Amino acid sequence: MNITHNIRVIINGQTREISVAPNETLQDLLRYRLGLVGTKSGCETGDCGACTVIVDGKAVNSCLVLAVESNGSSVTTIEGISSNGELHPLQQAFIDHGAVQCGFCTPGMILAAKSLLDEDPNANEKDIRLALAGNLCRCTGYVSILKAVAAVGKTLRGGK
Amino acid sequence: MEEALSLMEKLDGGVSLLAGGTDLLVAMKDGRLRHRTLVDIKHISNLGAMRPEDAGLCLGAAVNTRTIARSPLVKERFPLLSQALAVLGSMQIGNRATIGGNLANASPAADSAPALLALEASVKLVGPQGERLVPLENFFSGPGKTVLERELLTEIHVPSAPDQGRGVFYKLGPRGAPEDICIVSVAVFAVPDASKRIWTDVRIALGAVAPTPIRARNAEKALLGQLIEGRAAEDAARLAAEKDARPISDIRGSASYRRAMVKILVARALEQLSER
Repeated sequence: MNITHNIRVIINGQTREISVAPNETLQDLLRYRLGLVGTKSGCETGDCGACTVIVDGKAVNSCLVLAVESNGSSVTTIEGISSNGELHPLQQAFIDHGAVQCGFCTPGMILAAKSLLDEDPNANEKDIRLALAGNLCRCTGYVSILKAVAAVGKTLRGGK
Repeated sequence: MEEALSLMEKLDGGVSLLAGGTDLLVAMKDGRLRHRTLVDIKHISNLGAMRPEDAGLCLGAAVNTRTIARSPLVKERFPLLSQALAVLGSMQIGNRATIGGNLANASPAADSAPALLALEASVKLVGPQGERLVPLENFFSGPGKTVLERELLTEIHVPSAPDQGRGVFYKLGPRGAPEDICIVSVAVFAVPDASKRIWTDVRIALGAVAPTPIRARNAEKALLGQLIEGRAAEDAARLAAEKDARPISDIRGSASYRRAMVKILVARALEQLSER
């Protein structure tokens, strides 16, 4: 069976019309066909969070979304959050706080954090911990990651 | 809706319904599900809506669990449900996983089930022959099995709960994190009389300790009309563990450990509810 579906999806602000296989995941579409390899492939079962992207404002595991399901949606990957060569505040905070070790979990961490802070700029530490609970860091650098996200939350609130 | 139902009819059961996909895609990837047609039902109108219904709640089956957990309406009227759904999975899973999918998947460990059982929810099933409303307690028929017969689960109805009633949900898992598949889960909703001395209504639901999520009827009976500060709580916890729970041993925990935890968690829930 060689069924394909034509979808229209906005990826990092750019509208794309793409033909996808019915069993193709969003993760595979992003990585292998669009070359957006900042979206990492980890467990493939929605447990590690490395493949996190933002679909219509919500963080999701792209390994558990079929590409065809994203028809009509807006998808943001790690490649799409800096603007005009300026890093996103979360990206800068991860650097400032030494929150990047091997880097494999970083795109997923940043997108999960972005989705939380976009939704709730006043998120407290407990909210941040809960929101990042689905992102595993095998270097176990969680404390620095929490600090980086909390710092951006504070910046967004205008305090220090 | 008609289209989905006719596809289910035409393809003679060779159809998997796709909503959030957080269980289905995992099953497809590990080969438990092959060569089947997927019908994406989450955009069927009304399945994505959530609304107050008298003093209760009507949840469209395709509403995602995190939306329900964070809804001010649910937090205010049914904090027990909000509490349970907040730990159903990670943020990413909760943003996709639907309430209907969590129920229809019929895992004995489904995190939404104990709270909804304790709140005496019903599910609306729509098929070619019409629709029926089934109490959630009668919906599950075994691990991964339900009474659905080429029907769609379209709505979950949560009836109004007594104002004085309070609920609590415990999920015991290896990490103590939302991502866990629970070893044991317990939801208790209890209503004291006006003097706050006697239980007038207690509903205890258990997850992951029987072929389906269950109500702990023996434990409930031991509490009805009994003094809140009395020995009944201890008896009830013991009955829940020994009579109501019928656990198996698996990779997440042994049967005896599960029974021991049911006893502790039911006792803890009743103690917590008696303090308010």
